[in-house]
Amino acid sequence: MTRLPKGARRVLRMFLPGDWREDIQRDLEEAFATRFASDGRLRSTLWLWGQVAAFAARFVAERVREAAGGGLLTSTDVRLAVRAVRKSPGLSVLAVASLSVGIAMAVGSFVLIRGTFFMDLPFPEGDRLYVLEDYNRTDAYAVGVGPQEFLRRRLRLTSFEAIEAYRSRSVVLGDGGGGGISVSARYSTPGLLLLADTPPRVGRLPDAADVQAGAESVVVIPHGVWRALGSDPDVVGSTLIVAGTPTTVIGVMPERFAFPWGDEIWIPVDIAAGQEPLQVIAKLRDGVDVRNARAEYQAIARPDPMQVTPGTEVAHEVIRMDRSLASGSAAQLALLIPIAVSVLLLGVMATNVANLMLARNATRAGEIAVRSALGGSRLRVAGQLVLETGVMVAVAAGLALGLTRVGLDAFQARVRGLPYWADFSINAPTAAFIVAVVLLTTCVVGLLPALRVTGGNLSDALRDGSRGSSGVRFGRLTGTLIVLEIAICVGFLSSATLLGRSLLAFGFEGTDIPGSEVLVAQLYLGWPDILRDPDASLPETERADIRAEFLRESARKGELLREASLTLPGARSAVLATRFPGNESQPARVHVEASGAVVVSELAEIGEGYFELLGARPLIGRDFNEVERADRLPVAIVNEMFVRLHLAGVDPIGSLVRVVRPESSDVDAEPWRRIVGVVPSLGLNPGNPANADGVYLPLPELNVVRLAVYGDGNPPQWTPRLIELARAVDPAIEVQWSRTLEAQMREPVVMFRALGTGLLLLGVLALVLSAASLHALTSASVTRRTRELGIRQALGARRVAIVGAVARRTTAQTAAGAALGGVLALALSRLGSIFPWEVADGSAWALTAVAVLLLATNALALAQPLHRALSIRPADALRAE
Amino acid sequence: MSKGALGELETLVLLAALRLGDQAYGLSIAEEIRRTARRPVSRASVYVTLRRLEQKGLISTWRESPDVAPSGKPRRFVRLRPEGITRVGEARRGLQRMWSGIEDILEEA
Repeated sequence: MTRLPKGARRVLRMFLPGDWREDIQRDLEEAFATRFASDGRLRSTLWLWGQVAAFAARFVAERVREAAGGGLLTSTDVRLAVRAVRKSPGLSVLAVASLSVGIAMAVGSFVLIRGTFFMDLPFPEGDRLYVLEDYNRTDAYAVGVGPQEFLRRRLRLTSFEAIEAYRSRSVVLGDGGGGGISVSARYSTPGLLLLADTPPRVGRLPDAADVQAGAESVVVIPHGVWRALGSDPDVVGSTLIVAGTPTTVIGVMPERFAFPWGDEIWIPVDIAAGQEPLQVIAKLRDGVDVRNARAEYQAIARPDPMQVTPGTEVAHEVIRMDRSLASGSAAQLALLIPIAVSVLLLGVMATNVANLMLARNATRAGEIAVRSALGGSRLRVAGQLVLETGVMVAVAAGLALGLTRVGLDAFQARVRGLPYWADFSINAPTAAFIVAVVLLTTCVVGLLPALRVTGGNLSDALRDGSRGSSGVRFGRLTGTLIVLEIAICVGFLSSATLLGRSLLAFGFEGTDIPGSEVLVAQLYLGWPDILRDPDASLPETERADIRAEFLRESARKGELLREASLTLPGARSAVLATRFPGNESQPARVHVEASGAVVVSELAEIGEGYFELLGARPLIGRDFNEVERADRLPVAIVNEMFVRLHLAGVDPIGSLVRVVRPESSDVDAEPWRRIVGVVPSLGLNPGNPANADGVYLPLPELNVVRLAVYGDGNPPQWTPRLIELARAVDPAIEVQWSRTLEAQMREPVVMFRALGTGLLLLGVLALVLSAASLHALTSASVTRRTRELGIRQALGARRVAIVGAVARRTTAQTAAGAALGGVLALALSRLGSIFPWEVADGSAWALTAVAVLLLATNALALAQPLHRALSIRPADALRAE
Repeated sequence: MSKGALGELETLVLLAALRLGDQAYGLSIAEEIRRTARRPVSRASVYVTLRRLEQKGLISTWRESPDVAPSGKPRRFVRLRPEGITRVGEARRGLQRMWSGIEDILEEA
């Protein structure tokens, strides 16, 4: 007969009653042998485990049924449980603290995931709204769709009952009295708000007549803006000045309504008349399978030549609107981090408390044996122990709810860009989750230790109890728990240390300019209509000429706006560039003539005064001069890291590099550039200073450029005025966004900084808790072995031998846990790739630091039990016998 | 159901054990119920029921001699105690009383 696998036998031993266990095992072996012969190893093994699980579940249910028949829980049980908890206040506090943090993290991540990714849009048929998106296959960045291409697609797509588009821009909203507020406006097709199927609070929604030629400009405002404008009850029909244009208010949307993404004003326009790229939202026709809609969209859509460089691979995607956040951006990836952390943390906490419970139960083996001797069934006695844990878990759950609420409120207050439909309230599904977590935690940390401690021999326990030692031995389960706990602790702390170190390193050197005194804004000038029309038949040379002329004109307007921005109150200097510190990476291939190598390096194209504005100056050589800028001569400036990495041993000044932009297809057309200066790193890759090698070139003529204004005024308040200045230069200039340099430097890291701090604190907490657990277990072990240690002493054992006898196993477990933790830490360090910067390299450093910390903490934890072991007097220990 | 009444599975297990005679043990009882009553029943449920019936004093169990066990591990066989047989009889009579008078309806169904 085929013997059952060891694991199966263990499970059966754990859950089946002793009087039938062997017989059931025998019969299962018989059936398993038959299956094995007919079905082979894999299928028969799967079948067997199914049977084992069924037997375990069925007999557990039977025991509960039996116990419930005899009254499983009485008020006396609850009173006893509360008394037992109060009897060991230190242990109870530690357990409650551990469980609170663990449960809070688990519940918090559940609420975060559910509230962000699995909430339906808060209006009828929201599940039929889809974002039609184009994105660059190479870098996954979304690319816009121009009006012509949008209209072409809308005409042909049949899977959607409505397809609407909008573009966003910052506008100043005033009441004509000179004041104004800066708001974000959605210039959209008139049907955009109809997609939300939500009536306005007052007034009406836009319709097609609002965008007909000669119609007056109208606007729908959100509740928040209505309040900001004084909560005028007769606002409908009144006139507001929107971006300098008198506009009639036709409606106010209800409180908390926002569509598609945030709190903005809605202005219906003839979308074909615009130039800027559009975002598209569509409502799926009832009964149409989204896969068919996607296929149709992909067949009809084609890259908009005015939005993407020819040759770029563009993907066309149909994404459910309320699920669209689940793909892509760093913010969503960041949301995954707390989840991973909470899983680890709950593991640490549950393991820790299970250990503590086991240690405490071990010291109560005598009491438990007496209960059993008085007729208490194993289930009844174990139930009492589980109930004690349940009391602690219940207290912990209450604390955890408070912690979760505070944490979620802080998260919501600090993290921008969350969808407005995100709901972090603790509602029915959350409550169900909490109950499940509480029950599961109680079972894990209560049931397993209780079963372990009640499974011993009754007479042995009574005898051990009478002489002050414990009959419970800490077997493989406990050993495994400790190893696991230390592994998690090491992995966790190492990751926290690495992350913390990376965050500390975040930033850029070489400048001491206060980022709060610099305003950075993105200017977009669009394209002329003739270039936007994909059907326009223009000779290529003529198209190129028009394009070049437009870019030249754009550069001139950008320069005019730069000069105008110096009139902002307190402004001292203003600079145009393609990027400033904190902006997204712009890599380029760089050929280094000296070494013949081709390297990938950061690229920034900069206007006059760039380095001065950032408070930096060339370390060697000089800045670009006027002639080089005006004639765009083939020169370059590199940073210190570039020299260190790619020009080691070479005089950088005068060396040649050839910079090839990602979109450039003709490498040979790019000139060799002479390096004229070397500057500090200046935040070209702030997340990864060691990889921040970069090249600066004179600013070319562009239609998208960033403007930075430095001054001692109040940069955040410059935005409305800057928008007005832009419109004065050319109404077509769009100020797409603006923020302080400090904000844009901080934005990518604010959440990670909080996370890093949290990780460090929690890592330390985990370490303290694991040390407490080791202390409790060693202490219980000394109690259990009192007599043995007494005899050893009587036989003349040396102190070192006693210490070795007590600490050997703990030390081995710590070593095994640390080794496993090292592997875990390395695995976790791979998570570094999801950060918007590279996590500092230094796994060995972090692991060493954590190992030393762990050893020191463990030594402290073991000091008291070891002292007690050495203080056992042989006569006392033997007298107890 | 009164405190002493047999459950459906308990009745089936007792009946199967009666039918199998001295070849009644966990696996064979489960198989007999499956084959004769054409009811899928899990082995786990059969063993839980056997244990319960034993605790109620309706069956007794005995192990075969290791010498005759094919695998060297003795099977635990089941036989009904007189009380068990009485209870099965009571169950049968109760059901028969319930059946009587409705044969016509059932034949039409």
